[in-house]
Amino acid sequence: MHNLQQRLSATFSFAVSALFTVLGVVAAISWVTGYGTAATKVNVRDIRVIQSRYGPDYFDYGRKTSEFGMLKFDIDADLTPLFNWNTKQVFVTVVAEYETKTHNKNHVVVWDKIITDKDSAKIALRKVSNKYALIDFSQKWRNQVANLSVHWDVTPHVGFLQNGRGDTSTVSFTFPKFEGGR
Amino acid sequence: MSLADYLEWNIDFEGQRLAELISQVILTISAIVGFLYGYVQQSLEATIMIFGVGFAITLLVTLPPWPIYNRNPVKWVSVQHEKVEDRVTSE
Repeated sequence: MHNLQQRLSATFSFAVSALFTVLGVVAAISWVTGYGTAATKVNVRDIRVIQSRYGPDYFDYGRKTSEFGMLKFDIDADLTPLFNWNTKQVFVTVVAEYETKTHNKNHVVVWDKIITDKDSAKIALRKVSNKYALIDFSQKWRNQVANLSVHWDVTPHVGFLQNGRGDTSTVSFTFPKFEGGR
Repeated sequence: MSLADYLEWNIDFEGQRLAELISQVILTISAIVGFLYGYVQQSLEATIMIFGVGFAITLLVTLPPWPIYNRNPVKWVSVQHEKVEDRVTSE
């Protein structure tokens, strides 16, 4: 510590150690306590099945056509409990889950949103269309039962990503049989 | 002389001990206070800000060679000139 450079170096290194100790404690607290759960609800209003080609080139006759699930649903979610001092953002998704004869675990994200502050953490949306294509691996929907639910991933300022889902919000719906072309 | 020579800012041995103690105490206290305040206010930003202020104060207090760090200067023994003959005889 006898000259300026050594004092600067020693002070800076101790400061970094102290700061990262604090941040480590913060991360550990968030890891132990978690972020709790949020009350979420999804209500399916309308389901249609259409036949089309995936991608921008719907006129590309070389591609196989597949059946798309077209949804309209309401989302009611209060995600404010997920916001504490170590929440940077919350990534909310609406996930369709279903089981087919050949694949027992299918998850399709049909809608998502990034929430960065507590004030906009209350979601009440009506008649939302699915943002992302709802296609099955078999490219067919034949009286398939699926569940819609809200899932979330909490991105902390420091520490580990944590996720959760609103288990009470699961809503079952049945895809109608495809009738006629577009 | 290079710029580094102007910025030597030397302090004595007791001053070094004092400066190290002061810097570690201020940084530790600001870390603890920042953590507690941030936890109560539920704001990690407040924690970082308080620690940043503490760090700035630490730099201000310990970096410049304040007179308090130079109260025990090293007393050097005055230069003694040996005679050339003595050195030759001793060898």
